[in-house]
Amino acid sequence: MTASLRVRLTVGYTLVFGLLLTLTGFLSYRVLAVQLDADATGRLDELTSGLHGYLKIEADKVALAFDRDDPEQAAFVHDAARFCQVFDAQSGRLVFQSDAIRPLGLHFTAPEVRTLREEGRPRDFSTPFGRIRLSNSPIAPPGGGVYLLQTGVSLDPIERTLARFRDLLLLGVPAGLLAAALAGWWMARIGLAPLNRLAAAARAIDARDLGQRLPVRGADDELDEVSAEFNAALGRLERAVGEMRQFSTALAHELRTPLTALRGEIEMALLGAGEDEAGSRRLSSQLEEVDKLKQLIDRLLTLARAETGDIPLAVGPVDLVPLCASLVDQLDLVAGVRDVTLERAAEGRVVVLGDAQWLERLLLNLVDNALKFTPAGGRVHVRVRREGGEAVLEVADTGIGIAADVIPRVFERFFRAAPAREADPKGTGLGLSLVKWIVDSHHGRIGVRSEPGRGTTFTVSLPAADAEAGHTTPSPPDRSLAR
Amino acid sequence: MRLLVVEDDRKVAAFIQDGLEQEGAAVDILHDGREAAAQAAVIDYDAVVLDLMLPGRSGFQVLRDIRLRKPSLPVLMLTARDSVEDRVTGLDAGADDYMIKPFALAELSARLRALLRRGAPRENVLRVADLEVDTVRRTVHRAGRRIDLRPKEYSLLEYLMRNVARPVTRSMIVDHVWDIHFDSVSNVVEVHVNSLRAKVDRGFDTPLIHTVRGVGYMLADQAT
Repeated sequence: MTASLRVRLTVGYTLVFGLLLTLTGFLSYRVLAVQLDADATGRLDELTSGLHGYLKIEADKVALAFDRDDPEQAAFVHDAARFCQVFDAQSGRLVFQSDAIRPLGLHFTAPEVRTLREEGRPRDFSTPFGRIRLSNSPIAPPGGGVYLLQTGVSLDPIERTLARFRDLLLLGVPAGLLAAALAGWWMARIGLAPLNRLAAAARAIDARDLGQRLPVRGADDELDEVSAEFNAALGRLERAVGEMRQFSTALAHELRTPLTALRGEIEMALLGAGEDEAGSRRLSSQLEEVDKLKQLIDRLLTLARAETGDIPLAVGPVDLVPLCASLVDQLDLVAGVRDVTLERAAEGRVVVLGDAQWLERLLLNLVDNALKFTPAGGRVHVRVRREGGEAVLEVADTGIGIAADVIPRVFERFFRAAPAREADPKGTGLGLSLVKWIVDSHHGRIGVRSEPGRGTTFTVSLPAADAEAGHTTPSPPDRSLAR
Repeated sequence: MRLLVVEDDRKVAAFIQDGLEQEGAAVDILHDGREAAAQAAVIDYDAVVLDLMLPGRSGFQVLRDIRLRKPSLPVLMLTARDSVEDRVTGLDAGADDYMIKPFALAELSARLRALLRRGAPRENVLRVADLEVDTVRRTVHRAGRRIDLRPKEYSLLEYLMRNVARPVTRSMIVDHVWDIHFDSVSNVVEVHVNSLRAKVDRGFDTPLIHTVRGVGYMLADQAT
């Protein structure tokens, strides 16, 4: 699946931004966690070493000795002794416990107390009331004995802070991603807008109007570079098409003049042949070939001119109904000779803006094709109708049909499928190319439906004009060949 | 009939000369454009056949020169180019008719005759042998018997009658009888000629509509 450049830019931008955002969030979280942890340990060290100075132990009696009139000292001791307990390191007996630590149920057996004292490092404990970090420092009071002092700080505030930060990240990262996607989409639009304008300008240029150039904005950026390069390519194309036009004109002259001489000489020879029946037949067969060659040159040149935009269209309102009627009437006899029924269904007014002669040629080529490829006993049906904003012209036959795999190629120049070659050995393979050009130059569409052996339907849709606009069309009076 | 043909291609010029002289015209040939206008001014030609692409002086310039001195001398232009601009320029510059190469000799001589006939009154009743066409009533009789024709068959017959005893090509017929250019598609002309034949000639001793091999058709009171 391919997505537009804008989508791809936005997705890429959002992905990179999201990755950076996640990484930054994760790192910040880690740094914060480590820092808070270190802070807690530092605070614990401070409290512990401070408490040492105020703690007096004599004969298992623990007392805090400090100057109660000094508010600073009092506050410090209050903090330091908030979570505090003292064990006799030998017996493991608890000799002192502050009120705040009691409900936490931090009891240790004698071996545990010994181990903790020997380690002398802070340890974290989980309690029903939250996590707490306890320092484990040995005390050996002058009065004798060995004790373990545990002072604690609650780890709850740290965890709450981290949790809040986590929540912030979980909300912030998706929000950031969304903002990034929106900003990316918007920036891609702003960034690609000149490109879209460029594409629209390029789309408006065709072979008929190669003098046009893409706008260069003067911003001297990559897009201007693209415009300049494209313009240079257009210039080369314009020159090439110009040369092609000259070439086709020269070719027309160079081919037609000797052909004229050839034709004339054959004609003179034919006049002189008199009673020589075999000679006359050979000469007139040569004339036929010359005429075929002339026809081929004419058609090729018409197509070449059409494609280089050398054929101006005389555009005006054209009512397809009388056009169709007149053409069908004039071909009626041809169809009759082939024993093909030629019918038309064209009622009311179906007006388009176009060149009447080319539209007639369009219909003629289609009907002529249908007649050629429809065996005796078959039918060719021409319909003209209006469908919404479109004029629809349909030529359906019950002819030999076109194989599905060659349908896309029928509009190619010189393309003739094998059955078509057999049914019409004289064809040039240019008729449908011209049809395609006429449809294109009238901003229409052409479609083909076919079933080998059953028939083919060509459907041409042209933008319809206001029915009233057709009043100026001279509808051919009384050209019907009523049987 | 005296004609001036200005054509640089010698073979083309030669066959035009041969062909037109066989029809009884006196033909002078010039191979470039420089002397053409002067010669046309001095000699009393009935018509000029002028090629568009000439060395020395282009066909358009020659045409303008001729028009300056002889505004009413019929000029038929020949060209190997057929782009619309050329056609418009040619007719704007004052050419009376226009032919694209390659062309049939019969067509050239028919067009020249048409140019010379221009302005002459048209007959209302045309007769060839026992065939009679009333161009006002658009009725056709042969040996006193009425023949019913479709409109296109009638137009075809009238055109053949107006060119009696002279061959006309398919493209001449298409140009004069049809308003759609069936130049290359369909055997429209053959089909109509055949159906016309069936109505005009069948049942009569002398066929009037003949096929001229390599050229086209001819209506005449004798065998070709």
